[in-house]
Amino acid sequence: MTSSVFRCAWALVATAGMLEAAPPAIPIWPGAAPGERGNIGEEYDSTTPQDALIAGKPAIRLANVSVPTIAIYHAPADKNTGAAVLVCPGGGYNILAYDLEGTEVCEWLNSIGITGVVLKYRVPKRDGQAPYFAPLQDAQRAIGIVRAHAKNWGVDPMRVGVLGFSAGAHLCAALSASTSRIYSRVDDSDEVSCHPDFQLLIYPGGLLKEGQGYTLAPEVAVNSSTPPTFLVMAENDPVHAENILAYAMALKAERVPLEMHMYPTGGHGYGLRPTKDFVTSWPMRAEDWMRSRGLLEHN
Amino acid sequence: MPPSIALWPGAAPGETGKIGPEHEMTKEGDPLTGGRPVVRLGDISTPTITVFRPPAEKDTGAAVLVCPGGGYYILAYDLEGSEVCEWLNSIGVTGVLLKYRVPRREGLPRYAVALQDAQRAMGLVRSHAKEWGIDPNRLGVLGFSAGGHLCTVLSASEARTYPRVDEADDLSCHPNFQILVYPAYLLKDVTGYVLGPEVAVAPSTPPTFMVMTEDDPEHPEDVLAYAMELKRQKVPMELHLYPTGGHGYGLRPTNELVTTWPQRAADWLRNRGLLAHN
Repeated sequence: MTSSVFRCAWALVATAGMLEAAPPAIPIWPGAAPGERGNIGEEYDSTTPQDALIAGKPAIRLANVSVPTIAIYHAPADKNTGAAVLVCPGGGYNILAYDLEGTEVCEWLNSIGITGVVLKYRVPKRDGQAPYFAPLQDAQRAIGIVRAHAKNWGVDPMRVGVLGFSAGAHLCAALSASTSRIYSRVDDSDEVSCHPDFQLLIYPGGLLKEGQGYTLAPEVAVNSSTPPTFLVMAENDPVHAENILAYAMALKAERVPLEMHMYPTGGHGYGLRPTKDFVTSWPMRAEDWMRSRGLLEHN
Repeated sequence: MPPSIALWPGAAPGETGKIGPEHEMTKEGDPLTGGRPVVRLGDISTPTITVFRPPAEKDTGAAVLVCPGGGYYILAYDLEGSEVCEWLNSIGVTGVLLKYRVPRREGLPRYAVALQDAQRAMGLVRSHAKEWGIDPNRLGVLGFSAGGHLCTVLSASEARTYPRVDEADDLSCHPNFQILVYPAYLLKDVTGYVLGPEVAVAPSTPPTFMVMTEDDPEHPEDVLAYAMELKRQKVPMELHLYPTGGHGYGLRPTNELVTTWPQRAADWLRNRGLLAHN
């Protein structure tokens, strides 16, 4: 059963949509998230005035996230294609670039008729756990919630994809590779599949097994059930373009449909803010890819 | 089409007159590409270049040697040749269409005589740079399939593979950039991601643009392996890999997204400053 807290939150979402304000962030766990012991400090934006601007603007860097949430950016009714994308910001599993790689992406998705769901997953890494462990619980839970509410939200549960940047892209790949929930069932939303129908990995980090050349890390292993994948990265990315080359090779070997765009320059962490680097035209490539896969056809 | 210029003053190196005459091999009933037939030239023993000049008001001074594909058996001369030169002209680039020798000559590597022709052509273009209004430092190559392989062999070659003919052979035959469209034969072994020795990548390999599809029967592993080497050698590269489209589409637009590659290539050329006017 969905808790009354949840029902109240969903009502808020609908209200926010009408007012066209930023949608509220809704906790994804009814109580404390699995394994939380209350020892993480208060959530805050760790960006300081000294931090470098990105395309002339600052970026939010959320730290100490222990109450993971989703915020639903509904596609405008006249444009709604029924497709939905869970957006996973990056930040090295230390912080979340919540606007640059989150809310701004949802606004773009809305412009092409897709419902954007920004995931605020737990950071930093929890002691004694893999950096992606708590975030993967959050991502699995979030996909289940989206599918469980598909009808109410005008979403086609067979067109729920994921899009992530940097560590958030690693999280997408780990989600695609996971075969079952890594937490105890909470409610009905944990009964529906948490496997994405497609994934977009933007300058992914951490896909490689350290010191093993082009071998993928075990938590992002590719097999024939890996969803169709879109990859973009710059050759001069300090987080290593080898990540997408290795992932592409594995996808090809498993005959998973793949599209990949590697540009010479652009570095890391540009989100979808346009700069003079051509890599920042990736949203146009991504839109074409989704359209060519039939993901943007109206219900 | 503009007039063709013979590459070699006499017979091409090693030619004994056994091959020829050159002829069109496309037959009625051959499959169409982008709804149209394709010219397939066979038995070429007199290699040529044909210079397609852009309109004067658009001319950027950049030039590209275009190498059609055809498995080193034939040349897809319009699909992967003259039509490409016309597109290059539309973005202010001189297109130089290379008609290299096919089929493979007995007893030689499949690319051997084609490489001689490509090396000779690059020197000839640079030697005529002033006359043709070309910047000799913005001379690139663009090849399809086997022609893509030929471009990479040319980029990897360190010296002429034939005896000097004239001053044109004293000029560099190294391309300033290369565009590989569904290249073939780059791998020594398809499963191993190891490049053939004749296409080895070095820091001097020119900046490279590549496009291919995952379902290409000629193996997208080619571009992935080449990309890994370019990355390792810190050579600037751009790679677009699309899910579908097969092989041999040239630049005729179909409903496959991969056929938008000329727009990506034009952006890349522009971004590298290759389309800045003299």
